[in-house]
Formats: sequence, C-alpha cells, structure tokens
Amino acid sequence: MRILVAVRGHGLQAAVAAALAPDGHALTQVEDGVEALEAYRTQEPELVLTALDLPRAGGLELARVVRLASRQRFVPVLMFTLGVRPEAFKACLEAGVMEFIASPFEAEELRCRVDTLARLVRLQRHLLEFQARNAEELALVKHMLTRITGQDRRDGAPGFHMETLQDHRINGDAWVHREALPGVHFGMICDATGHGLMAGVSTIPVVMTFLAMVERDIPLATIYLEIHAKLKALLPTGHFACLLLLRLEVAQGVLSVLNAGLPDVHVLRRDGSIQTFASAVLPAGIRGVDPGVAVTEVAVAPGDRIFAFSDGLGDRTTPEELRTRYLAGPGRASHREHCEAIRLRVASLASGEGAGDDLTWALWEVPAPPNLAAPAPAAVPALLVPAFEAEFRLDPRVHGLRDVLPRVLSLVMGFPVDHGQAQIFSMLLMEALNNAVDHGLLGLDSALKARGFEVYEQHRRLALASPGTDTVRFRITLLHADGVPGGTIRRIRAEVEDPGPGFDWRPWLQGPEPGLLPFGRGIALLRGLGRDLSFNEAGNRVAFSIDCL
Amino acid sequence: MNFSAHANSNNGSVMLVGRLTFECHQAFRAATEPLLDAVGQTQLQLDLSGVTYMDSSALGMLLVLREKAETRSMTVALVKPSPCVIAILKVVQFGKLFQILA
Repeated sequence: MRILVAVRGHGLQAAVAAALAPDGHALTQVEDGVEALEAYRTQEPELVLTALDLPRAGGLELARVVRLASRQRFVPVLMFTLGVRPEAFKACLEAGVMEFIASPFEAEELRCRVDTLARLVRLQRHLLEFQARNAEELALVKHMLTRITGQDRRDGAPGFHMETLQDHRINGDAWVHREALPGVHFGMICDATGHGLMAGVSTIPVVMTFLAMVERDIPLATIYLEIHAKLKALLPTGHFACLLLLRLEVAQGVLSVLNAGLPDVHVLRRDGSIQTFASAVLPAGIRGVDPGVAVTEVAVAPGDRIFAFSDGLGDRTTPEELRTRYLAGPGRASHREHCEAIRLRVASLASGEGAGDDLTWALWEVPAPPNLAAPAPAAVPALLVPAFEAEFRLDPRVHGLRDVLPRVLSLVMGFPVDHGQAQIFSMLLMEALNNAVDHGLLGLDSALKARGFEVYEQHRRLALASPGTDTVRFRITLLHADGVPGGTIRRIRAEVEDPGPGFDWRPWLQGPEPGLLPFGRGIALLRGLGRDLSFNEAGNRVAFSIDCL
Repeated sequence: MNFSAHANSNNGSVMLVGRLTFECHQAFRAATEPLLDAVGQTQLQLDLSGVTYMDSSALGMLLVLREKAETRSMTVALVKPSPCVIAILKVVQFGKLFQILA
C-alpha cells in the first residue's frame, strides 16, 4: 500500500519505517505540510499518516484536502495524537481524520491500525468497481429496453399516451403502444417481479414477444399464452410478469382487454360513466399452474378514454383519489390537459409512502374513425360495375407484407372511398395475404403454431431465406354504382391466389368460430367482416368483398 | 426493514408482521424453511394478519415456498390476510394458487 507519512523528526520517521516497511508498504516521507500536500497530489497515496503539527501547513489542513478529494478516491487519514488537546479531537474528526494513534507508539499497534484502514481501502475499491460495473450493466439494459420498446418516442402516437415515472435508474416496468394495422392499436403494460434491473431484464422477452406478435395482429389470448410459455422457460420460480394487454379496433369501436395481475383498467365514457376491468388472469410465467385466459371485449366510442396503470401507482392511490384525481377526464378537459393533471399527481406521489416502485400509466383516447362525418347511403345498389382494377404479384422474399400493404391501401384511398371500410379491407387483405404466403407459398403447416409462436417464426424465417421465384397474385377491384367517373366506391373486392396445393376450406366456412385456436382466425375474420367469401375448388384462391356504406 | 417472522413448529405456522418486501427474503426463508421439514405436517400456514403490504418480490417468495412445499406433499395456506393484502392477492389472482383462510 502507498502510504504518505508526514511527521517531523528523523527518529519518528525511522520508527514508522521500521514498523511498516516489513509489511511491504511503500512509504513517502515528508516533514513539512506543504510538501505533504504536494506529495498527496503527485504520489496519490492510499493512506495518509500525519502529525497535527507540521511546518507551513498543519495535519488538520492536510486532512481537509484529503477529505475533499475523497469523493473521487477514498483515502483514510491516521493521526498521531502528539500535540492534540482533548478538545481538538472533534475538530480533527470533522476535518476528516478517521483514526488516531498515540505517540510514541507501539510498532505492532501501528501495524494493526494501518492494516484495519487498508482493509477499508480495499473494501472501498471493491465497492467502486462494483458500482462502475453495475452502472455499465444498467446502462446496457436501459439501452436495450429503450431500443426494444421505443419508449424514448413520446410524440409518436397522439391520443395514445403512456409513460413511467422511474423510481430506479432503469425502468422496471415496460409499456408499449403499436398501431399494428391502420386503426388497430395494441398496448401493453408489463410489471415484472422486483424493481429496477431485476424487473427490467424480465420485461425484455415479454416486450419482444409482444411486438413480434402484434405485428401480425395475433389475438390477445394467444399473445398471453406465448409470453407465459416463454417466461416459464426463462425465469426461475418466484419471478413472473403482471401484464395488461389492450387491443383497440377503431373502425369497429371494440376494445379488448386481458388483465393479468394489474390494477383495474378504467374506460371513461364521454357521458361521465366509468366501466372497470379487473384482473382475471394469473400473471404470466408462474410455474405449475394452467393460467387460463380471459379476454373481455367492450364497445367504445370516439372520445372515450382508457386509463390503466401499474401497481406502483395503485399501491399509493385510494379509490377516492382515483375517482377525483385521475378519472375526471372526458367532457371536462382535453386529452392533453387530462394527461398533464395525471402527470402532476403521479410526480407528487414519487416520494410518498410506498415509494420504491416505478409508476407507469396510460391514457388512451379513442379516436374518431375517418368516416364519422360522412353521410351514410341507404344501401349498396344491387348493380355495381368496376371502376378500377389492378393486379399485383408479391414475392415475400423481396418485400414484406407490411411494406407493401400501406402502398396498396394508399392507392385505394386515392379513390372516393369510405376510409374506415378501406381500413377494414386492408386488415382482411392482410389476413388473406398472410395465409397465402405462409401456407401456400412457403408451405408452413398451421399445426406448427400450436408449438409456439417462436417455433413458427423460425420455420417462417428459414422458408423465406430459401431461394424461389414463385409469387402470390392478388387482384383488387373497386366497384361503383353507375359508372360515372368520380362516383363513390360502393364495394371493394379482392382475390388472392397462391402457388400452393390449396386446402380443404369447407369445414372452416361451416364450423363454429375458431375462438382461441392458434390458427383459423384469418378465415373467421373474413367470414365475420367481409362478404361473398369464396374459394376455388383446390382452395388456393380466395375472394371476398367489403361494402362501403 | 419493518418486518418480523415468528415460526411455530408445533402447528406448522408462521406469523409474519410488517411490510413484506424484497429486503425480507432472508428472514422469510429462515422462518419458513425449517417448517417444511417438520414431521407430520401437511399444511404450512402463513398468518398474514400483521402484514401491511406485500410487493411483487414477496409474492415471488410465496411462489417459491409453494413449490418447495409441493415437493414435500405439503400445501401452503394464507391465513387472515389484512384487507390491504387481500386486495393485492386478488389482483394477482393468487386465490387460484393458495388456500386463503379468512
């Protein structure tokens, strides 16, 4: 250990050297206060042994300088008591002296005191190294979480506000909002076991799974089961994730809620009424139990707001506070003002009782569908004639569906067409094209989905990476009533054909709704929302229409 | 840490008092694990009447205890939880995992 020794007199210096040198310490010896300060700066000792009385600058001043610098580097000061009056000990301790030793001293006692302080120095060094490593690990997880969830993008979704007031250096909660298809919004709040890094790490697989699945508009129940399976495989017993999964389909005015372990979700109606959705499902990732799944669907109207929060906020809020401070929104304040009021209230809770958890909240406002103000025609005329028709060939190895579909939709939107219905058409076309690409062109078996989304995606990625030249063909026809140029589009028709052998579609057209089955949902959607659904005999070509009223 | 645990090996019960959080996990284990090896017990009862708060880590401790109990053919019952704790257990649906005795 490097030790700075600031004492006067050769005799004392020699005694200190004789006591400490055998232990391998490197001593820098000075007899003057100014020299001691200079040696402290240049030699960077790990321990200072000083007398009180030194020429030009005393031991007290030396101790103060060392203490001031201790924020960067901890260096204990050991002082000889020679010349220290009893009433001066307090001033010495306040100046930064940690330990005293009588002078003249016993060599063994000096060695013991230096050894004790050396252990403190080593502990301090280990602590600093641990803190630096910890800070680096935290920074990495924070970087990953931010990149994965996009939580640094605050202004990406007007009306779909979500945020966290962090209580730790990284956010242990995770929240995500994605508009998976035009007018189809997904949201998630994930609150994993523990706080800070422990919770933050657990949310990474949750968020990644959620984002991958909403990209393909997978039902909430299937998303939950996939996350549950993944967490069970990854986390030890005792760790789990409370989840709130939301899906809002604007054109249909339907909100789907899956609440697995988070406080009640509130739907605030414009008329002042409030509907709540309590947790009905076990948190994801708990071993040794079948969690069961419950998704609630409720009709919502433009201007209704959805307020949700993690238990960090729930633990610090009484029902009365909830009603008066958080839920008084629609009809009185704008969405922005409502958000600001919640933010102020949440900030005031951060240091109160129960502090220690992150405070995550979401306030969504249901937007108006694009066709809200459009006059509704009485009915679609019986005789319709094509106004526009286009045929496309899609190679999914070159262009992803999510790249292509918005361009096709914008082409359709260029005509006088009901935008809300066009968005539903876009969703149905996405389903039909997904089926054609996955099963017809890539030859993926639907039964694979029962083995988990990740297994299915792996097979899909492998199939997409294989060489091939075949394509999916699809045709879009816009029809209007009278053939007058510029007339309103009354029906949109699509035909999608893949190069595969087809499938037996008959049971799917006649059977019950597939419900929670991991496959068959696309056909259910086409049946439910489209019209004139038909297949060719082989089952590799599907056609459907949607009316624009 | 405002928490204490008092085990009674005669009837396989543990009385927990205070805020049950991550910081309590060593005290929780020390109080509960010896009871898992108590001869003749088929149920371990956690008296939660004195618990004022549980965080998610504490819920995780319950799950770990439940798993260990299962390997010894034992069950875990949560006894007399306070209204605050009942609300927490209800939100996370732990009634599906533990017997809750009022």
